[in-house]
Amino acid sequence: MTAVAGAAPTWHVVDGEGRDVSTGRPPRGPGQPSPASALAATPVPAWPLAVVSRHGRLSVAGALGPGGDRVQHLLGALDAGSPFAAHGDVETMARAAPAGRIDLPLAIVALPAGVEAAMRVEPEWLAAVDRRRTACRQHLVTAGREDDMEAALHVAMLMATGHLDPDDDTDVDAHVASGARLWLLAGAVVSALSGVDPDPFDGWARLIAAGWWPVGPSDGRLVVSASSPAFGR
Amino acid sequence: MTPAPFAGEVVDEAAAHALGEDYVRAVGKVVISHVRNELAGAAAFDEPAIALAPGPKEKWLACRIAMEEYGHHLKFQRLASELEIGDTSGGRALSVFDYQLSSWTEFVVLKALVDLAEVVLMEELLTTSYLPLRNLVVKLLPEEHFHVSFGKAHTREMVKDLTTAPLVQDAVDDLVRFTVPFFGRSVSANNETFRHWGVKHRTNDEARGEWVGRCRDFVEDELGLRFPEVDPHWNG
Repeated sequence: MTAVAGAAPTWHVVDGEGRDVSTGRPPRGPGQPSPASALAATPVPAWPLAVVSRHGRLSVAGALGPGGDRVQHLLGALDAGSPFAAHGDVETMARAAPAGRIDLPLAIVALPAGVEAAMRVEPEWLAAVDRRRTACRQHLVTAGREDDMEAALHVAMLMATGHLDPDDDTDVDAHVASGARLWLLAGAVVSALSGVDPDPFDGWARLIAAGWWPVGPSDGRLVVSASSPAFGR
Repeated sequence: MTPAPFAGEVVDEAAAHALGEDYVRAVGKVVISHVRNELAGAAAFDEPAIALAPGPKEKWLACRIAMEEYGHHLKFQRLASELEIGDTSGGRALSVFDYQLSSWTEFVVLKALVDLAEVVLMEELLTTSYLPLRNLVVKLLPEEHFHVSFGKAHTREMVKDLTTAPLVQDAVDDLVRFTVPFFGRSVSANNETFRHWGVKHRTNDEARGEWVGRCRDFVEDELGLRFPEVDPHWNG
């Protein structure tokens, strides 16, 4: 990059090697006016990411501001995708649901049963999760952090494009699971960035990163589903 | 522009630039139209549909579809970036995206009919002269086909219900009218350039006629509803 005295710095998104993620080359040319806008403009999924200007380098956490470290941790876990091996871990995370702890009997099911359960998930509970999502979003908007939020969601959706993509483009069940996980992931990203403590989406975000689909309370059970026909084999 | 239509294949962005800026501009216009329209579709229809969905399963499917349309936008954007087209954010999306989505019924009919228009345009690009565009479309078409099949399946269910069948008919009437301009004007200098360079092979009217035929088959034969009169010629 060429330093121009007096000019405002512009920002580029780079990969772990410092290459512009769009071109694979060192950053050049005009960038974006802020770290968040640089993240929001990147068209390519890559992890890890950083943003650079002539003044230096920021991690995703630094670029997003307060709560950015939690978003970075979440997306790092999504990228790593290491499944929980122990049933107990899944249970602990599943019970820490976004709208409060759920003490119903746990049912870990295959994908078709997960879709069946999703069709009968308790509507009041789903509405409560939706309200949590909306509250976190509203908190960020009120705090003047809409750009940070859009940047975080953009990077999350970029990564989800690959990580949550159904293997089979005709498999309706896998699309349902993927859509549900996207909805929860977007909620988790906004919640993490909002700084709410404890983070109500943390447990389920970790389940999603590990490849599970936490469905919710359905027919008197707390249902956690495989996210694809092949998951867990 | 050479006198005879270009009949070759262009393997990458370097070959495109070697062929000349007229070729790059022609490919660029097609790519940029998809960059804009995939994003506009996700924002105008798919994201709002998440809130309109009648149940969790439909909600999750709408999420997934919104994600895929946004993913398509990103992939076309990357192609534009590789071709060094420059800013893709200017201009406006097509008029079909002015449609005000207000119900789940409209959304599923929209997926069946409007996404079929996108399929018709993408299928034509399976023989485009610019191979990176052709290869991208090969990857994206299965997802677009899924969106249409989703729309058709849910529309078939709704038309079985006497209370929702009239709403389906209303949506068909409105959406067909909104989608006719999607294919461009009958007299189009852009389309002539696209065909000259082998980026596309059909006139706008031929593509529109293909879409009308497939939509009519679905609406009349499968749904048993009335398909509105459509003039395959459109000049704004």
